[in-house]
Amino acid sequence: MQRLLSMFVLMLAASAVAADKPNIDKVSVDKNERLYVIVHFDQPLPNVAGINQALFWEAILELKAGPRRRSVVAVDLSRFNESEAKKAGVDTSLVENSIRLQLSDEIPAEDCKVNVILLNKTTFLTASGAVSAIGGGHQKPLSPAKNRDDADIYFKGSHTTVYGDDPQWNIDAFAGYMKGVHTANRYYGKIGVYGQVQTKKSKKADPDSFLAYAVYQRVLGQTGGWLGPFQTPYLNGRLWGAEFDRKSSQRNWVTSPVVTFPFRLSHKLAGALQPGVTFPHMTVQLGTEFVDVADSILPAGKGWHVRGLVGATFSAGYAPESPLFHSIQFTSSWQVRFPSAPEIFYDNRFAPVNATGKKGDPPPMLGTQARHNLDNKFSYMFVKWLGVTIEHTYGSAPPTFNKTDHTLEVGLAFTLKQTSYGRYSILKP
Amino acid sequence: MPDSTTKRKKKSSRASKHVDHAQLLAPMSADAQDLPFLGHARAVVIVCTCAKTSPLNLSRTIEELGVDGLPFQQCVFGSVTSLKYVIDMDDIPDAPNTKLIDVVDAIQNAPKRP
Repeated sequence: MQRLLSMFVLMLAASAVAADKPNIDKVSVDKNERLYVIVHFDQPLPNVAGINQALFWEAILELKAGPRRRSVVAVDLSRFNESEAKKAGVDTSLVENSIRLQLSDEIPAEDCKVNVILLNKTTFLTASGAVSAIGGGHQKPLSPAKNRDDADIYFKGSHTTVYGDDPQWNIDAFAGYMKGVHTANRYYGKIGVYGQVQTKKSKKADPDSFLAYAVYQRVLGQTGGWLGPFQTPYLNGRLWGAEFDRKSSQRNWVTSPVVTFPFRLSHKLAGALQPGVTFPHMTVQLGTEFVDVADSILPAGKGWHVRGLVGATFSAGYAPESPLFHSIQFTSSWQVRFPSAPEIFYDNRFAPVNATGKKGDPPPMLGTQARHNLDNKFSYMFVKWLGVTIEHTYGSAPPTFNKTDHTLEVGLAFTLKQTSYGRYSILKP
Repeated sequence: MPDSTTKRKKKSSRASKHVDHAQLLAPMSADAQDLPFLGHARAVVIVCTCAKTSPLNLSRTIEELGVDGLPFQQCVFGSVTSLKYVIDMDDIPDAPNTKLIDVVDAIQNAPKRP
């Protein structure tokens, strides 16, 4: 225990020391000026005296022909901080915490990697960046994810063979992908698909439940700018969707246009935001779900009906990264659905009680009452990789609306990860 | 208590200071600055305008700045293409953990439309 504690203290001390080192967060080249390398710094900014001399810097290019060294002949600090901007006669609003290293020779117009080395009396740093020959970032459409929460495409399956008994299948898989549709000067939106399949301890490789959607997203404007604290709203339409749950034999077809209104709880962020602060952000959703219940355990609930949908999300956080207080984060999402016709639901309040006083499974019922679905999550991280999460859930979600009463779940977290906006917007509401 | 004339003056002064998106981008277009690539300076202006923040926050992520990724990506795409440079929308990162400087890096070498 004592050894663990001392290791913990050492790790905290190591992270505090690491935080004092200058942090280069991007090395890039503007291809209009291939004589310069742009080096951008994150907080804490280094002392000017440690970066302002050309002899502190060296550049190594990784070209097709092999590595090439470039000497740095001058350092332009005019956009590093306010005082350097004033000295150079540059407008202080252009300060961006970056410097430009002037090289002895131009960088060739080909795919290459640029490495810079900073070496002064107290600091030795290396950083690198890629220069693409065709302009643009050219993100790879897919890259490896760290875990399930991080993934947009995920598959986990297992088959267990038991001697003298039936085999068992476990499948947990989902995939979501969105693609922008546009010409060189016109934007038409994004289309994508999302699918999810789950099977637990099944004798066959059939799904217990699945969801499948074709999605169309479109920001409602060509420029996507701001009006006060409001960003441009966007349409998130499930063109076609299927929901299936084997337990209640529920199979729904869904079409749902939903408009999302995102806004920041501040008009503008003119000054520098302290590292670690997640500025409060909200979205409000309004929409309609057109549902065709194709199959159900309760035949009276079949047929077309409409659900009105109202929802909201909120997120905020703070990460001072001080000892025993790395970060806190709060996220919340709420939706309420108003079915126009009786729709299936399960509520534990109506579960039969047996002779021993134990509650059984709730029976399927029909009703038109509002269906709330609330999920609040609070994370407190002692260090980057260890913390506590408290999650509060309440309500029910389609297709079966199995109601969960107020539930508080406290757990130990080893990582803190938020799903991407892309996948989130496909999944919810 | 400010009277109605003072309020009107303040309002008109705010209105005169307001620069809309098209006005802001006009002097930066490919016609106005005949450069083969979008360039770093214009990329910084576009990204900071679309995130409604200052260049001092280039190291912060989209999530930290309370910005929704979808309209932000559309704003960057619309701005780059309106300046007559070419970029694929899916090349503009919009994940919550994307730093603004990563977006600058992704768009600064967008080539001029032929």
